Amino acid sequence: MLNPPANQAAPLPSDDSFAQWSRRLQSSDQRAFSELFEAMHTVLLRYAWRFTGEQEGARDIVQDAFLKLWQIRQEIDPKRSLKALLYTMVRNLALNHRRAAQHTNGLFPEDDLHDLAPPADQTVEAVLLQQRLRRFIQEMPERRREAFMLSRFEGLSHEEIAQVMNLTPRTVNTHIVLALKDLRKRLGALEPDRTT
Amino acid sequence: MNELHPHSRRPAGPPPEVLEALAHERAADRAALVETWHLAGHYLRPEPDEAAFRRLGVEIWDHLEAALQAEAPAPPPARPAHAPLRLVRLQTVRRLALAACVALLVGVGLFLWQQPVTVTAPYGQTAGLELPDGSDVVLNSGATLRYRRSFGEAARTVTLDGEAFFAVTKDEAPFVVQTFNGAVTVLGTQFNVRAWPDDLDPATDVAVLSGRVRLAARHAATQALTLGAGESARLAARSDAPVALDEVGLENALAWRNGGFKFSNHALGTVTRELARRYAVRVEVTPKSLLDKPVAILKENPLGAEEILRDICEYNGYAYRAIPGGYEIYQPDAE
Repeated sequence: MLNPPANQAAPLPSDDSFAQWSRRLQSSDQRAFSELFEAMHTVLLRYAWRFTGEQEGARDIVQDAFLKLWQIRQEIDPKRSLKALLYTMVRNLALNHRRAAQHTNGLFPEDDLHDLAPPADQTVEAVLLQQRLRRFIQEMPERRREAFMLSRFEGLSHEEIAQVMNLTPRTVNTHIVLALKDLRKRLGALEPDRTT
Repeated sequence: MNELHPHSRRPAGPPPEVLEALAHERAADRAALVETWHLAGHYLRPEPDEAAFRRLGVEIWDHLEAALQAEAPAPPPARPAHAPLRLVRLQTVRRLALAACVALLVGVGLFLWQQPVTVTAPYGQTAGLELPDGSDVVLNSGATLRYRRSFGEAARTVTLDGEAFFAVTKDEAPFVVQTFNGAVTVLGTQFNVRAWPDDLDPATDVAVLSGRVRLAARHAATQALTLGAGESARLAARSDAPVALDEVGLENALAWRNGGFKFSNHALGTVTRELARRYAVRVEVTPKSLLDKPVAILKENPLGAEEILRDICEYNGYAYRAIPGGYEIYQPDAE
């Protein structure tokens, strides 16, 4: 009934690849650094962009994150998730950036709601549903929204989200289940007859 | 990490932990929740211009490459035939200096990372923040809150200088507010802590709106006092034992959160300090002997510092006048 978006992003590298990059970075392998950048910069730019809402800020954040990663390469622990480390660095830099910019909109900047025109071939009903979902997500408590988005849109595991957001995996799980129930309840309230 | 979906960053359905948590739902509800998960994926991922991101990526990589080359041992410079030896030495020195700079930067970075996070509400303003565990804190003007970046991993400990209201999320790890002389320990509750070490009569005052908290002196944890909703207590600076306060305590203690200014029996010096912080003005008192005098001021919604000063002076027979950057309270007879 619903068409998946046309531009499906390439799948993220496997955990094995990240583990190998960790080890190679430790020995200052620039090739590994370049491969990691190639694989991750687009998703990290999108992630940073959610905080900043503008491209230059996102670019500076991702650039600083990779620079910092290179500087601390010898301290990288191959047993911990390099993916989560990257997300953590981008998140911290993005939060600092937001604080500095006095930009208080939070995740998912307000502009999202208006900027992204829906594809022309969607029905009115689908467009309305899309708008509602966006608004419902926007109105979630900030931490819950962040956990939900990291899980749903960044494909991070709960342990990785826990590391990025400095929470216990159990709390992450609770956030996500609550987010899902909240969305469902609000959708159900609008369309009581569409329960399956 | 996520062994069940090693091949894909966008698993077909919710992660196994979520499915497990949903297993308690009725089958129809569960199906609906899983469908919501899919809907969210189809409709909500913001997809800004991919081409723009690729362009930004190129810009970043150019910058990173330059940084890598600057750091890597440079290829032996093509030395002109007549180049004096001194030039080579200079280049070596420059390279060493660069290496030292990089090392210093990394060192400074690591050092900064170890430093606690510090949040201060400026004079004339309050500041709200959310801690990593989801707890909310509102800082009164001039108050400072510090916590380690590792906050929440084993313990939830913050250090407070000044006054703040806490709404703590429930968690197994106890939440501890350390003040200059005491510690407030809680599990999940809402309460106010006022602890200005430089007040005329310094103390840690705690008022509990909901839940239960424990107040104890830093070095005498055995004499703790447990407070329930609506109760408040004071730990004086040089005391080991907290003392319960009367019921008015709570309302007065929370007044600042709604713009109120309420002190039922405080030294004039304490009240003028609060005025200075809240309204970012200078408040002098002449002669200094007045600073100890007790005053009471209960303002629900004052328009500014002057309205409060006027009341204080009227009730206590003082007068005030404007001075550069603020006000001076004085005794009219002494003029």
